[in-house]
Amino acid sequence: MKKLLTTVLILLLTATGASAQDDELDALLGGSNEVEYTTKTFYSSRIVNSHTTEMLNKKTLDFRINHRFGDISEGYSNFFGLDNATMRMSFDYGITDNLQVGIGRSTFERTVDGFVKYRFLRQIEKNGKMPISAVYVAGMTMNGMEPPANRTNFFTSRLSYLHQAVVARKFGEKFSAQLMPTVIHRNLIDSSQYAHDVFSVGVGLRQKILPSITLNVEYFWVAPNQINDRFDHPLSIGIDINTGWHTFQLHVTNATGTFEKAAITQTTNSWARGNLHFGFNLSREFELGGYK
Amino acid sequence: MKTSITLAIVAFCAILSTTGCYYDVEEELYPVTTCDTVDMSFDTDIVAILQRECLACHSNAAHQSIGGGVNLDGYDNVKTYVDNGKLLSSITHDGNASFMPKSANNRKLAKCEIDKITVWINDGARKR
Repeated sequence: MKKLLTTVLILLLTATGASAQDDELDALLGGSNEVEYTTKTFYSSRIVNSHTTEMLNKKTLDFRINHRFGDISEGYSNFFGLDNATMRMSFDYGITDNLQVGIGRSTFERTVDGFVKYRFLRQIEKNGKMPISAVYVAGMTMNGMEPPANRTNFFTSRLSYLHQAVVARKFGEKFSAQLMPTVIHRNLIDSSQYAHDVFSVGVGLRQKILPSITLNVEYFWVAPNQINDRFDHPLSIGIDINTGWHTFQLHVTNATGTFEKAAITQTTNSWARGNLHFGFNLSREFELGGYK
Repeated sequence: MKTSITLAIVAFCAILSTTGCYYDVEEELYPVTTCDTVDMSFDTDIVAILQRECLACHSNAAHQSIGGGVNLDGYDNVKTYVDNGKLLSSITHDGNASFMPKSANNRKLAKCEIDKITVWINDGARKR
């Protein structure tokens, strides 16, 4: 797995503006000198659970519904998991083209979560040199479960925090890759043998397979000895179907949580054991500033 | 100017989201004291634990939608999972059943609560 991470890192770092020659040709032919940014590195602002470098346009609202059904291995009696579900409903909003905020509520531990996402690098396609896009995500979650009544509970024990950098590059029309170094801080853990600050690195890949359909993979490697070893690394494989303002994401995953803390530090199921979940994300964007 | 305002907002939010960091450990905050496990019965001792820890998801009303189809509402329903071993497996996290509860920071039930349920099951899982 480290090899995969290293390969993606090398791909991202060594990729230079391969379009430089095209730019010169354009200039000779009298084409525009305006900077053209790369678009649709991914179809959506999430791969499965993790953020991408895609941002909402200014004054755009994204209403998202994420569903993860039960264990597929439960078979027909639970209709391959479809009788049970966890879900997250959320609203993301683009304050500017490079700044986005969002708030969501999950059935997983009745969690409310919020985030701020800022894009500080943007890959340039033409008339400029920037080989990658990069965003920073800061988030916070609040566990809504009822704590034990027979002790003094603290509000701060419900909270955890997320800090994540997402670095992505679109390699041509069909293939994109991204790395997501991530820190999750948990205010309360059950035992001192685990870590409050959990370090992980995610990899996201996208391959276009049809004009409006991409194949996506998302994986997080969690550094050892930080969480209970009964938790597994989350791996999700799925497709994105883009229809303009809608994006449908269908996937198979071992993570039932649909936000980073749940997926990275609390995934109990495993691909090796065959405990997988079918899931979908539905995204609908609304242009609140009027359609362009 | 616009960029610097944006950066300032992001920096502010980043600072805000780190100022509330605590490093609390449950087993240190809530050390186990004495635990009375004598003469356990469902009605007197166990039902209170279930109500507090399990029935949010495993009640008659909720178990089909968010409780994985596992109903722990009432003695008869609970007895099914006592007899097949799943109740004890799930709360002791022994790997033979989905671990429970799915709650804050991966915690188990309090040790005393696990001890009470274990003793109750070993003594025959009496209703009264």
